Amino acid sequence: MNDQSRLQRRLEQATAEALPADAPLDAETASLREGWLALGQLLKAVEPALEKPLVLSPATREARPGRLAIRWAAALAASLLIVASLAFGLLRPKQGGAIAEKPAEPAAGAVQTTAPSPTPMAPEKGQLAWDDPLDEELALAGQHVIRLQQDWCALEDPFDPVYDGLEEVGQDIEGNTL
Amino acid sequence: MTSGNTHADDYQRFADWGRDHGQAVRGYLLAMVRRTNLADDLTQEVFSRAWQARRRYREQGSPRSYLLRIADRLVIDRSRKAGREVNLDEDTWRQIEPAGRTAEPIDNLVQAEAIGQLTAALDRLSPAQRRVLLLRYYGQLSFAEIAEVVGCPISTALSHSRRGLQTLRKTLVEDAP
Repeated sequence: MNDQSRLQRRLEQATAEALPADAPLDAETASLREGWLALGQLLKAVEPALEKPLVLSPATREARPGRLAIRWAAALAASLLIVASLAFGLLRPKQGGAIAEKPAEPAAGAVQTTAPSPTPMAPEKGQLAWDDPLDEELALAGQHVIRLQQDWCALEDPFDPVYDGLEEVGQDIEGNTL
Repeated sequence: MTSGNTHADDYQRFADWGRDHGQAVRGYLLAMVRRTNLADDLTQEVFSRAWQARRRYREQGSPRSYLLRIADRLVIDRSRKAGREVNLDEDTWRQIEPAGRTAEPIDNLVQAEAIGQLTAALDRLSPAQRRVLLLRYYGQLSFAEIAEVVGCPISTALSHSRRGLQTLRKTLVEDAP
């Protein structure tokens, strides 16, 4: 038995899960086993932390924390934008009512149907009427959101000539016209 | 998870592996990275990779050895990407709390003390010694299998193991308070 085999045998004994009580161990093996058992005791003491159930799923790529964090951040940003837009609309000084749109003129010959108009009822105290100011505020807030989106899109316009120029240069290079 | 199996067979094998080896893989990863959330994520990743590679898997050696090889590779890759050995301090290791919250205070104290000792002991080991000994503990792998997982000759794995055990004995037995 060479040195490596002897060491392997010694280490297998020292790190065995269980050994017979009367298993003869030389001094070095016994010493190594003490270190092994001490490590095992500590790892076992920490094991209760692992008692929570392990839930495994074959497909995990979509559930990775980095991607989840990005999704949450995007959702949060969208929510903040909406809240900010609503707050901007609600806090803005009133400008005299909602935007009234003219009803479209019925085309000649078109059949116009109208639902029977319900009897107008005064809202009870504490209830919101259908045409209460909140509707107007919401409509204003919606307009602000649309305007913000338009402004954002407009920001990209100044770069268009640059892109166009680059495209032309690219076409020239491809066509060897330079 | 051999190539001739049906999807149901594969899934059953996956479930069996999770039941039989999940905690060992998780324990190994936790001892290596010392953060419960990260260890759980990596455990999930190990099984995800095993699932993806199920058509290429051949029954040689033990499944636990196979899974621990994936786990070990993930830890090493991660530490290389981070540019350092993944080795967090005791405070981070103390994030192990889910069981501690419900346990008796005395149990929490015992566990906290064990965590402190374990952290100190693992920190005294070289990364290679840690890998070899934890693979032996959690995987019950032979030294030949450990050498294969770690990617070194068996003589090197034996040497790491011996020196690691000597260090552990000194730290946990001789120098114990």
